[in-house]
Amino acid sequence: MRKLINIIGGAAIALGIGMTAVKAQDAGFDDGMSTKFYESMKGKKVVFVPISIGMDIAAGFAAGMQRMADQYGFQLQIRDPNWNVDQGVQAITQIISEKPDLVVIQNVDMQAYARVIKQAMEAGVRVLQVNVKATSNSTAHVGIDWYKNAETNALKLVEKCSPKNGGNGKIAALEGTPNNPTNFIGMKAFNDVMAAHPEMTVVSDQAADWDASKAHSVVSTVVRQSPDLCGYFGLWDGQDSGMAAAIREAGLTGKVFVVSQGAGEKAACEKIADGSYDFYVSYNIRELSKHINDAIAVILQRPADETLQPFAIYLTTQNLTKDTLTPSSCWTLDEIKRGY
Amino acid sequence: MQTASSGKAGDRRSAYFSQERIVLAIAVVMFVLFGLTLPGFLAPGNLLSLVQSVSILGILAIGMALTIIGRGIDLAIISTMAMSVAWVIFMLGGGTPVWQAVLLGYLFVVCIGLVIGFLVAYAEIPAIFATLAMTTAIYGFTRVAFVDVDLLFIPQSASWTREFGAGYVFGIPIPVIAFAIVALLAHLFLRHTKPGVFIRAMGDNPLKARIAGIPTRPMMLLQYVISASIAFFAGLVLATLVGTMNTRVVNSTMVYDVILVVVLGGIVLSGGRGGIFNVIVGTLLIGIFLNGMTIMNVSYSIQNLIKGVILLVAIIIDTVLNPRDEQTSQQGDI
Amino acid sequence: MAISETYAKWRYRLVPDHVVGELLSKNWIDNAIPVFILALLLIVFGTVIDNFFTFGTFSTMLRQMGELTFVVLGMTLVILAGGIDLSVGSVFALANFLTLFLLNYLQVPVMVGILLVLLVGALCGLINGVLVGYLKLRAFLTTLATLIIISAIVEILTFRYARDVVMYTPDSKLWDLLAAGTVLGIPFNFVLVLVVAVAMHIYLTRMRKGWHITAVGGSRRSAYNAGINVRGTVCLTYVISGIFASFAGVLYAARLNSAGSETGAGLEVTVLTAAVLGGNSLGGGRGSVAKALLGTFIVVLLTSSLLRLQMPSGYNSLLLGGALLVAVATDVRWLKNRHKLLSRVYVSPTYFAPTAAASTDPGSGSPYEINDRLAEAEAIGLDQVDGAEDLAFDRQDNIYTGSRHGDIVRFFAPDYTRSEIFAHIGGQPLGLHFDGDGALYACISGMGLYKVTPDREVIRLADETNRSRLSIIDDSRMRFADDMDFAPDGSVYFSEATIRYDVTDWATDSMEGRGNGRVLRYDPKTGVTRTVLPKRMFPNGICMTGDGESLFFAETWAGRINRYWFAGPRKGTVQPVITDLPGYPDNIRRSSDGNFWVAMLGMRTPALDLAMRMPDFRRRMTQRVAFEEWIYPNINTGGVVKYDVNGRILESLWDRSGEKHPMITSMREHKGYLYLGGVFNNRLGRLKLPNADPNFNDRALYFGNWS
Repeated sequence: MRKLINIIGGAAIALGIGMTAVKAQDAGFDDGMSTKFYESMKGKKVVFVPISIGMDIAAGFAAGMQRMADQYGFQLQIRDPNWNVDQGVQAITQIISEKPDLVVIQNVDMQAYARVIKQAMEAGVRVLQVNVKATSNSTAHVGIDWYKNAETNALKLVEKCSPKNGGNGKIAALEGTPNNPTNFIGMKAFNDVMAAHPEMTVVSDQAADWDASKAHSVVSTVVRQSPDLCGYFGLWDGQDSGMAAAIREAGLTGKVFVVSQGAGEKAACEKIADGSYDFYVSYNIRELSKHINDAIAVILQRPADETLQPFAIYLTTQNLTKDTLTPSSCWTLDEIKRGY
Repeated sequence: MQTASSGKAGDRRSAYFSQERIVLAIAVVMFVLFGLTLPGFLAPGNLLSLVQSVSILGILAIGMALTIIGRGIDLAIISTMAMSVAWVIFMLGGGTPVWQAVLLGYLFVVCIGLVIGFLVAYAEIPAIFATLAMTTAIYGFTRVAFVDVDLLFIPQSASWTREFGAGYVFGIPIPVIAFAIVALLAHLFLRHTKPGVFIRAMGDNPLKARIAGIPTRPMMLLQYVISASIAFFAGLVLATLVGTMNTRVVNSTMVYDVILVVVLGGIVLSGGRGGIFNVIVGTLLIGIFLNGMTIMNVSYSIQNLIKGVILLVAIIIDTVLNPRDEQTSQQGDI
Repeated sequence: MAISETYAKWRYRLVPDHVVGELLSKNWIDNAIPVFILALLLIVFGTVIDNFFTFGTFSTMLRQMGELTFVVLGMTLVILAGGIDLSVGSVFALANFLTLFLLNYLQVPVMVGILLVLLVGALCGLINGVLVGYLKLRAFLTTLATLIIISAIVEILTFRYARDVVMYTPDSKLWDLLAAGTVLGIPFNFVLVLVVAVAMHIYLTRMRKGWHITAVGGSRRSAYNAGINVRGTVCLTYVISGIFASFAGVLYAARLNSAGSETGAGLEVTVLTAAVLGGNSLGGGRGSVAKALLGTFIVVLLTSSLLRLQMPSGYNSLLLGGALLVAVATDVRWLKNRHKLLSRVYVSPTYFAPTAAASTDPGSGSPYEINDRLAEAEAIGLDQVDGAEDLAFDRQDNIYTGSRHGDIVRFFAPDYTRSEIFAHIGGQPLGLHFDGDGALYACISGMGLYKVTPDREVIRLADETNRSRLSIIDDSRMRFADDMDFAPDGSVYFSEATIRYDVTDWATDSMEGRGNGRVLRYDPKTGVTRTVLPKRMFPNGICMTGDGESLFFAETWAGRINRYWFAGPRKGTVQPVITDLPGYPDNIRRSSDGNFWVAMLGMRTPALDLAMRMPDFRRRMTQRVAFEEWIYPNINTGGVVKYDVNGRILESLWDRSGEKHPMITSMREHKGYLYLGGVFNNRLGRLKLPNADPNFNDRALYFGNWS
């Protein structure tokens, strides 16, 4: 219900702002681009297909786009397949037949939407992929370099634990769902780094299905098995909170060096502050959301019949530790909605 | 002996080969095998962690077992657990005092139990369907009405309760103690209270139970309220253990794991047979198995594969030992 | 006529109440609820969503439905046989992966690849089938275990090959057709669905093996005892389900070319929802292809429309869960209460104003004046007969009569003390006549028109007629063949008393006052039977007038005898001959003096005559009062009346004591005697007729070779 009210409220605000914007232009100032810019935005239809709007990063994207839509006067629709790939495909197929000006797709994995994205492009519907890129190229992609993030983390572990640097070289990795792209790209980076550093020993490489409680039971077994573990490699903070809990239970906080990555939501910063994560690569959704809005702005300004060369924006990440943490390192959904 | 005391002639005949004993034997063999081959398996720390890692599963399995013994099934148990606790965490995030949030959460859970019970007992929807449908309905309702995100972190404002599940009492992890307490209470309930006896009678033969004057419908309500309550408790322990609640477990195969534990322990799906001891045996077997596999660093997919095969083998052995025949198998008994 | 009665007359003439009960008695009425839900959804979404009723919307939906429907059809089959198959989702995913692996990675020819995948699907189904069917494991758990095992295998395979299998796409027309082809604008995969659905429908409803599936699901024990191969049948359903699920996987692979990790996750729940929403009963025995299609369409409509409505995700789950609950709850309620509802509304009285009955009072001077002449009748087969509705004589004067046990019994001349079962037919014989060759024709209730040759061979002559265009009940089936006679051209005219009731409920038909019966004609040359006079009130006795172009037939509940011209200048006309009979006429037979005998199975009563004009009253009675307490025709007193060809009553014979022949359903004059039969009497009767021709045999009036 609340969401419905939000949407209605949002629409009302959009209308209000749109009106004022129009008035402002009438009386306002045209610097030679601004009028053209506003006109290219106004009345356009953008449809967003998230993985699930309940997912923090998808909610972040949606909030950012909504703010933009409200201010520039284009229409934003959200079709939420709620983790169901089949419904996602269904939604995109349906959207293609509606011919909107732009579809923003948050890919579930590299495969699932590849075909329909291609179909959309062939049907002349522009597609902006976000977060994870499908195997097929589209108008644009705004995303995260999963390989680089994981590589950064793995290298950090090497730096901390390598016998060359005085460690014992024993580390463990905790995977999510093996087939998930962030997982296998990340694990590829991890394995590549480990191959380059034969002095490291990977004592355990288990999957926990992105489930914190499974992560907890796996990690508590592993750390009891190898009490002298030097570091633990994590791929997503949502799962790694279970890992951190298990390590704390075993009394090894501070002894096992935990690297993790995530969207940098406020809970992550709390965990960095309390020492759960020793090193954290943050792909800040606030920033990613801004990139998405930039890409939307670029695409909407181009004429609909123009063939755009695919372009991409990859996010610059932040490496967070207890010491580098600032009050603005993390974000909350409310902040994005309010436009910080 | 649990099965013998349930008083069925057939049980006594095959008592020596009851599934529970077979599973217990397998568990012991696996335990000894792992103990001999895996270094560090027998370390007290590892054994505790073994039990702890399956405690939540065990608690849920007890809730499931109670419904199955009463000739029902509660496929919505994970959904109930995840969504109620998600709401509690959501309220905590909004600044609601802990006791108030937990109380409201519990009321919600009781309502869920009553709705399921009503659907099964009064609307006469087969339990498999009622609970299957409720799984999505509970998820949908909570998402619409209460919680709008998938993953919830317990806020720091939750003070000491934040890490309740991660605590220890006399060196024993809280989840293990919680499992023990729930098991004990459930055992006492089943064996020494009237509703418990009624539920067992109902599971054995619902028609006769009804004729005998047992209020079968209210008992069904009770059964689902209890399983929902147990789910809520398990959820609280789980969430405070790891600091989060991921509502996506609703769509995971976790409920199948719970059924696996219950069935492995030798509780028959057609109801009336088995007790809490069966659940403990099933839970331990899975615990030993998972722990050993993790130590051996067997991949997650292969663990799933082996789990499935174990379940299948357990059912096959059970069917071979306690065969059903065309004349006595019940209509719609799937 | 009082205003209320005029109102009743028109109200019941204009509103066909009986349709409700007939609709409810149809098997396909089970589909009413899902159809209603579907219509409701279409209306709601049609108004809420802009441009909903467009080709694009439905074309997209149908393509979605393609894959899902295959899986649902397989699941329906399994459910129909009393099982459940949770493994469909993983088989689907496995097939999807294997298809891509074979076609893209190994680059196997498309046809071969698809066949191999189907083979693997069948194998998965076979594993389930052997475990559940032959080893008798529990379906739910077993398929749960195979679900876990197969999806683990898929996971391992996908992890290893996911990126390799989508690098190449086969260049094949067939593949493109499967992926995105259309036939007349309809997505190709949906065309496939239609073809398979029709085939499966025929298999399930018209073929022996298909019936076995329903039988096993309906009652496993009975099916087993009836000698059906229960294990094999159950096993077969899982194999088919496996094949269907894997074919759906092939289609999915063709459409999306993606080996995503989430493929098929949770599919089993969607499929189960669709199957049950359509009205297939979990537990088996009740279900159909149409239901499966309906359910699938509802699910697809619901999910895709909610997506378009931009509903937050919770609503989708809430509504799907709610829909499943409502569907199962209605299904359970419906199953439980359908027969109750049916028995309440099936009997549907309508307005009928009977002509006032002639008096039977002694001293009234009426030709029906009561007497005791039947008391003189001697008994034949006392306490041996049971259900002797009619009787007939062969050349040796042996008596043939029917029995409730489905036999024709023969009493031997001359003293009729010995008897034997002449032939077993299976249904209760009613009207009986010999033809010129000495073959016995019989109207068999519930079966139709039969012939028994002198060698006791039973031959079916007619069991169906043309179906009326607007009839809801299948009136091509013969439910209640009652009496017959031979026309000069050799064709047989016979009556069917009612098309709404079986013989066991024959008296209930009297409550309705509607023309539920008909007169039929069987043509021996073509073997075809056609309805000649529909909508008659319990047509019973049939008898040729002897002029070669007309016959008499009795309308029992109207107390009326009509004359019908089937040839000659007045062909096709019907004229009431006697309208004020004091009783309910049954069979009509010829007499030796050229007149006609008609039997009275019971007497009309003023109370019932009045009630016939009060349909509301009768409706309340049939709905609220136990049927033993209804006002029924009085069938405890009967008699025989003789009339001439113009309908003038010549004489009447009664049994006042009601001891020997309380009910008379038939009589036949033979060699100076009148032989009496009554379907509820414990005897046949024989009464010496004072002035009758002692050599009379009514067959001689029809067939020259009998004299």
